[in-house]
Amino acid sequence: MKPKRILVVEDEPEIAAVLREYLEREGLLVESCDRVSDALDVLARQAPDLILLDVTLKDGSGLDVLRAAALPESRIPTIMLTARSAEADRVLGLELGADDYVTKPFSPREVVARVRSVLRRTTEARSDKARAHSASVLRVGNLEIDRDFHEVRVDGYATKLTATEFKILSLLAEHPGEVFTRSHLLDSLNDTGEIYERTLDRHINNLRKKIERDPREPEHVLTVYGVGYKMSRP
Amino acid sequence: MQLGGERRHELSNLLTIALANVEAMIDGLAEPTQARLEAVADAIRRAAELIHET
Repeated sequence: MKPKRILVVEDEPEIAAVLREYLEREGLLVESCDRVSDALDVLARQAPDLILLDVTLKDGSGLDVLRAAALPESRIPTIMLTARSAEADRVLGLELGADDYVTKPFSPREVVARVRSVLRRTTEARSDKARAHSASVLRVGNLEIDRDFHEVRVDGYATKLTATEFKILSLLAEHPGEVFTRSHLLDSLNDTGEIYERTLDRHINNLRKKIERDPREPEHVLTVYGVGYKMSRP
Repeated sequence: MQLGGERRHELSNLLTIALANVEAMIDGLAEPTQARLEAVADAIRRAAELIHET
């Protein structure tokens, strides 16, 4: 597993140095800076796995770093380092999306314990999400049918399907090898009654043009003569 | 006794420096070198000065 990168934003060099010693002993990679502007540069360059953030910095408020870290597209876990008295900052920070805080004077052991706990939580949450998502992706040969994103990828390249083509493909791919009669397919697709038997064949032809290497010699959506269609088994 | 925000921040930092260094030595992460011990003493001294100034 790749070592996690921690960004320490702390303007007191001696505190930053001791935090680094403790975090590196945990096998973590540590990068540190002492300014809001430098921290924002690091975030723009390569997002760390976690930020330890002193809220009171020389060139401004650490809350500005938090605002950038908490953006939904990056969502970097953050632990604030605050003075015990700075309750307003702490509350605002938690509302902005900080995951935890440690009050100064802190013990580095406590910081390390909290870093581990936040990393564990976010790693678990991410792998749950990845697992849930991969369950919604059907793979058949060189095809990936992503039902969450309503997207089909052929050899990894996204292909645009119409809603009907997508439904046909998903239905067949959920039961590879199983033959679907035309009327069964129509029943499953026809919420609105707009697809007829003769147009079904056209949808299938269009679908093949988009997903088959050679639409005249289909490898995925196969015709079962006199019955209907089926998805080849991978 | 009321400490102003800036001063309180400074005091917290000094105590963190002292505590973090001592713990690092207890945990075997840092050698109790002359320099390390001086850093701790210095942080405590500066913290004491801050309190007296108030």
